[in-house]
Amino acid sequence: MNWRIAKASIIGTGHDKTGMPCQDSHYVMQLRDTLIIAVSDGLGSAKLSHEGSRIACASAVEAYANTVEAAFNTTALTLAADQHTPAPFNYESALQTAFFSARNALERESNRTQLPLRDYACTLLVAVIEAESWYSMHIGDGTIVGLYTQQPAKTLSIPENGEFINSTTPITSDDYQSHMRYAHGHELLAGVALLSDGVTPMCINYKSGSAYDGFFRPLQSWLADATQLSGIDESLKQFLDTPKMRQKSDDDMTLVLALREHNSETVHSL
Amino acid sequence: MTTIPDVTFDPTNPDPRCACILILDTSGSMHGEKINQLNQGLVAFRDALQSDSVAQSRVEIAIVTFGPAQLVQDFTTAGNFNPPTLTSSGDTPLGAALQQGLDMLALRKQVYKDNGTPYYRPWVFLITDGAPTDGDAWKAAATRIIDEENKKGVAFFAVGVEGADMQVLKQLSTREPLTLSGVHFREMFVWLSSSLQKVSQSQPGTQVPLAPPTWNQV
Repeated sequence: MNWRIAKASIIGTGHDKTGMPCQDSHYVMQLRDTLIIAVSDGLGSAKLSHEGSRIACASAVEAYANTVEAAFNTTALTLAADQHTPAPFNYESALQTAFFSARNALERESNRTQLPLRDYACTLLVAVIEAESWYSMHIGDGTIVGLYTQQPAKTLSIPENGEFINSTTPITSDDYQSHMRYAHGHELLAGVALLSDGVTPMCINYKSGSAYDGFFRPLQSWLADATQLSGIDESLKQFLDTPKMRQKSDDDMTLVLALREHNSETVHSL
Repeated sequence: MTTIPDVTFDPTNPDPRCACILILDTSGSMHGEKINQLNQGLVAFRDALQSDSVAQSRVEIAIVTFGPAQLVQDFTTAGNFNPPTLTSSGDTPLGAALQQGLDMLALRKQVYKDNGTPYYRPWVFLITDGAPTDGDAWKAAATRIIDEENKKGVAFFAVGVEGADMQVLKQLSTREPLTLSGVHFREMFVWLSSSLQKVSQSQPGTQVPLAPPTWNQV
């Protein structure tokens, strides 16, 4: 399965003013037929949350990939030995493991630097897309949106905000496990979009959490019609940096868009 | 190079709001210079907020005065805020005024929730120059304020003008009360405005560092 992917994180104008770095991160990996995407938003109140979001994304995706690899090898051995049908892969548990790994990596970093864990506070969204299904784990705000060929964009995982707009639960909080939200669906997605909360005011309804198709449809066509993919990330950055977008949010913005290549939509690998 | 996509935005998403309720002592002892300066301070407050395009649509102001405790301005965006000219008379029913202010905030939050409007932690700003005259009513209000503070449901600031019972103000909040030096209401309101401007433009998860007040004395 081939994917066309456009991804960008840009610093908020509010952060620029105060000298804070861009605290958003993203990480994308394709592993055979599985696409794994992580987005993380470092909390503005946490001093090293730009490090936190980077570590969280990379650790989660790599841990998930390791679990998939281990299961793949086990399955291969089981099949080779002509034993019973291998146990089905447990996506929820693999995603949980990915989040625990991200949390552990942040704890290790906090121990190494002797700085409090809360300095690394960040949200985490991970989406796993396979041929005919998707799986996600999510803590904090930001949104995961499913893109379709024949129907409007649909929110797959909504943001979790605290009572107030300037509060959310990061992966570094004591009770983070009770805030981890798993979701999955068996459907053919044309693609997926992951966004940090800097992009949600434009396209995710505050009240219902639903995705606004007038935002996602043009992006989807834009990526599908792009004649060359080199420089696509830079174009997406320019899009996020337009005055129209900046007017709605002075926060860091992250958008990762992934679309299946047209010609491989019906190809099913064995 | 690829062109940039032309998207439209969800038109129903309201701007986030930061509610600020002023609970102002207009009892007889505020008569004269104090009430004049307080009124001028409110005008300076409006001017400062209205000079900020973001704050004027995000900050919402309401005013309760006492005594007696009464609503003189229901919540309105800073852009539409037209400060009343307050006059002084009556006693100092602090407890009743605080309860009324907290009730109004609770209602306002419900309106935000019902409309899906995101909001920041609301502010309560109390200014008084006396001691409560409604008995122990302030104690029940204090319990409510401290409870809300602990839940991070409000940020409560008490400001004592010359003559205020600072011992009572100390018990109203987890935060130390501030003492206004002289009648520097204008400086105080400009500070309040800039603090609200900062909060209303802050990012999720941000604890906004406020500038130290320059209008108080230790």
